Amino acid sequence: MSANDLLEAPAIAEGEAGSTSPVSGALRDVAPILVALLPFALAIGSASAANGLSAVEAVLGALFLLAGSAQLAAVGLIGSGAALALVATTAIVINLRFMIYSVAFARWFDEAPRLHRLAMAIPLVDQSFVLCVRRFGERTDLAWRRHYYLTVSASLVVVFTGGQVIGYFAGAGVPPGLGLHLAAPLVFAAMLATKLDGLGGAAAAVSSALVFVVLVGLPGGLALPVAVVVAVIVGSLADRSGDDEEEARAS
Amino acid sequence: MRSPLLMFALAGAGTYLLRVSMVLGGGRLPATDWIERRVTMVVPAVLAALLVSALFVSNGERQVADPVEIGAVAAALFAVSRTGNINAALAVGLPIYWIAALGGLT
Repeated sequence: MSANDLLEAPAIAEGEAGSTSPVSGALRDVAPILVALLPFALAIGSASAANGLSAVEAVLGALFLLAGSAQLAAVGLIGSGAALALVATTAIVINLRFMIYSVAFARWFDEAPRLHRLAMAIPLVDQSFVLCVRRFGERTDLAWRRHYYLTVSASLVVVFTGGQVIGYFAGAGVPPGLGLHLAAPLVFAAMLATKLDGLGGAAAAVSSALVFVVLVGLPGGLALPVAVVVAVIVGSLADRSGDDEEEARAS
Repeated sequence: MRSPLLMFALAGAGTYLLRVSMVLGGGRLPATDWIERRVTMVVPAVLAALLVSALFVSNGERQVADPVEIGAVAAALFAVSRTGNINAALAVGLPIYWIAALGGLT
């Protein structure tokens, strides 16, 4: 599904959305997502402890970022001794999708005061975006949307940070058979699966993985940026050859 | 300087700017086609590197990955690409790992 498809996705149950309490509607919608979020949060907390972060650093890291996959990547890079710029850049690149969410967010709350919008954007995450883009139709007014969004966001933040605190202190107490260490690669795989549209993206992913494995061990975590630069070049070449083939087929 | 809090603060500030980019920018994506196409490649490239890092790298060195973990991740990748639902990764990948662990395969 492309970004435009997501932004244009029709709201579900528009009539219902207008007449139902936004808080109860939000709690009902977000409940299954919270269940899925908890093991992920536990895994991040456990990874923070394993990578030598203090509890304060782990919790503040969660609150500063409010983005699990970026935090997980940052925690791993910090543990491997990567430089500050690399950690920050990697997290920001992973979060580039938030620009797309920001387009929708700006539309949902365009009648709200600017200061409110700037504050409400702090907890904008994948899950709140997906729920709100499906719920907010023509018949929902600003107050309904605001209460719904804030209820969803508050629930997500509580489970996200609370789960991390539990995961941090449970740490070694979590049986390895639960496979929480697998949460990181599973989440990266999930996000990757949604980004493999077209030949260019797939070529970029494969070449990045290969280059990274070959170069791993370079000082300062340089393997990652080098792999990404090579991947963008390879992806661009694959993209262009795909376009050429399409043009040749069309003519 | 290695300060995790500073790293998180910088990453968080950059992420916040992405979140409010359209509130500040009037709701329009300023990216050109050229930039958009490069960005669509950077994200899978970073994710692929992080994925192989999680599977094949330990303490900064290459390691032989657990075949069960590779299988679980491959199944998750397939499930998400078929359903488009990100939650399918944990819903499919973890049970595969649990079953293999119960069978003594890990």
